[in-house]
Amino acid sequence: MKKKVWSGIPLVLGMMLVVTACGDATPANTSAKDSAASSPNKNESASSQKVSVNMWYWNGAISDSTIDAARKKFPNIDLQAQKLPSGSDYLTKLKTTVSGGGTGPDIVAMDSWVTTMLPYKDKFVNLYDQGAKDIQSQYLDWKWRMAATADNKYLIGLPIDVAPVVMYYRQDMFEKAGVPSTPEAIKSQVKTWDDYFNLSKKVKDATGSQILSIVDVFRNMIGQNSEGYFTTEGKYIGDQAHIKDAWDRAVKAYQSGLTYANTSDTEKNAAMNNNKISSFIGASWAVGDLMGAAPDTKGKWRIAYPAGGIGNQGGSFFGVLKSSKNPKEAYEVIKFLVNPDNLVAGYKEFGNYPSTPEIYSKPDMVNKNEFFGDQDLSSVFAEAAKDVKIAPADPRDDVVASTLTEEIGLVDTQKKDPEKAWKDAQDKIKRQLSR
Amino acid sequence: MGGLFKEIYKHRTLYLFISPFYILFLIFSVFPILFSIYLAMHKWDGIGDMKFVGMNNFNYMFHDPAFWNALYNNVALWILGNAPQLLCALVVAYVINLAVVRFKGFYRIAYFLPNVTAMVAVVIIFQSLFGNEYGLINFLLEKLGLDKIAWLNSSFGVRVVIAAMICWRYMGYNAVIYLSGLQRIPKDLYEAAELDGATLFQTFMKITLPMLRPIILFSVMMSTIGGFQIFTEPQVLAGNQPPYPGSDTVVLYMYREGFNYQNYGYAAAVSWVLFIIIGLLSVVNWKFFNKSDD
Repeated sequence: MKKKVWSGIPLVLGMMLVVTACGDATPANTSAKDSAASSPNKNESASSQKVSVNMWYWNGAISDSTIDAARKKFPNIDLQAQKLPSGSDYLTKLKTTVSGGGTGPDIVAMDSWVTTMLPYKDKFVNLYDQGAKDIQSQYLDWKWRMAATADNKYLIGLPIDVAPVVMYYRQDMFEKAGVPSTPEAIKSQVKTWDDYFNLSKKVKDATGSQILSIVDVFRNMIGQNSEGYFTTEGKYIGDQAHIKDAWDRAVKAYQSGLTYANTSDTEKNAAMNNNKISSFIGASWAVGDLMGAAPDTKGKWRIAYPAGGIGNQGGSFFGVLKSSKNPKEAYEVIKFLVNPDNLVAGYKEFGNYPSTPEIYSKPDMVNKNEFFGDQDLSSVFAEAAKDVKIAPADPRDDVVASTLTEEIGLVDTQKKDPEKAWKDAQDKIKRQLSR
Repeated sequence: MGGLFKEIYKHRTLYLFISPFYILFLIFSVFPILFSIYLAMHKWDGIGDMKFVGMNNFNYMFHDPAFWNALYNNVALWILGNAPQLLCALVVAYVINLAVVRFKGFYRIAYFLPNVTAMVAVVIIFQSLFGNEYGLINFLLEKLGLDKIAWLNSSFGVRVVIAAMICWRYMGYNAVIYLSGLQRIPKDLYEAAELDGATLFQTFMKITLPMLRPIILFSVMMSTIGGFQIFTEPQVLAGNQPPYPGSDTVVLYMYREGFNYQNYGYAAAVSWVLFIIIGLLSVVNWKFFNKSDD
């Protein structure tokens, strides 16, 4: 009896191995809902010649209802959507899959780092070959070009959403300080960062509140530049005037006491809820963060066209990998997923602002929010989303950005001399780039 | 060697039965280890072509102030987090083990409990305890009429916060290990000491400590290995921002180079240097604690 039990164990283990080996062919960790939806289809697929299309995305890239709509729209396509953890883990997984050369997904969601994928464009399907030119006019031009090569002959992604940058401000505080306090007045009277600093000074004197930290101010200014840390040829220009100006002005704002302490997000959230923050510049996705962070200030916030010019912080794309066996079907799916109507659905569900300007004025898009005193947020975003200038992206941007923000943070937290911090940052960056 | 393979071949069915373990082990452990040696001598961004650079990664590392800074922080955190903690653990274990203490089981569980809590949750709690502006500890300091302390602005403050987390988490764990060691010490030794009129302190120094040596070696070695792998605490503490001053550890440095900056070859080189450092320290520990046995 005992012997029988023991001989059973290797059998069980052997079976486990067989099962795991099979697992490679089908996506191993589709969410429960997806696998439940797709398992009956799998049996049919042999008989009805269903084409299987795998998709990778992260939570919030596209809404689940849109994916379900795509399944209904394409009955001949077995769309397997895998929700992966977002952020750098996703990028690593995508990179290793692409470089490993195995069978990866057909469709991949890509974040604003899509531009850094352009040097490896031969790993992606040229969407122009699939007819992407026909739908180009629907999308914001600057957003579209982020996923296209410089000569505009190769396109690796279709735009999903954009993240225009706006100013979030406390209307009650602005009113109390006697400064422009309606979105229209702010747009016409607060144009430059200097205007904004002057205004913030008055608000601080009247209410004792500040704008976000020195690091945030620096980051926002960089985000509004049309030049980045590298030229399109990859030459380092992060030590030049456009960056140094932003550095100096952020330092000035800090030195004149306008900025809140450079501290953790938890503390910043507490400060916002405790009326210590009068305004900040943030992307459209900050709406949700702010509502979560500062529930006690409900109804007092408004948004306006940002001082210093518009910018973009995020927003994603869908691309098709070259290894896909069904690029045509995959393209049809992403074309459907990013069509204007579906992007409106995503906006309503997650607040992802669509990259198709034609729908900005549609009644569907009106988004009155109690937290913002029933202001229609969409109209402000619409203005801020047009004509954004995108700085050339480079894979090494992260090295430069994190070194600079780390050093400028020390100017506040450790009272480091700003010039020394600038020099230290540049030395570190040059070391990093030297290898 | 040939004999070994012959033996394996003879018992091939048995080896087939245990194959799930060693096949997975080969794929997920042996191959990555070997590949990381290969990777350490290349420059690779994770997607493009790999470029052979020989020892350049190591050369860059040994001349990188950021690496030495991370190593220094690591040593500081290791000492600050483990030395007081191990001493306290020993005292706690000794006290729990005293015959007069009742409810031993309760204390064992109570002290061990922090070790099973999720690390990220612990860090977030400590983050709000030690917050510069809205932290609970600063709130209490202000109530007592003292000044706020900007814990997270100075290297020393940040190290204290991280060391506090390590102490809180591992003190009970080590205390339970010491306790099991104490219980293995034969009672007759203590009885003999008592008959000879030894004081409590003398028994502790002359009987308890020497008999505990292997256990202490184990705990010091484990905390050395753990101390050089500190990652979650500084990483979660800083969130999206760069690590707080004084909290950039070697593993954090490796993670940043690999997964944020996409220098996978360089990160592999760092991990090998870390491996060698931990290996050397373990040997030193072992020699040190075994010396007086001879």
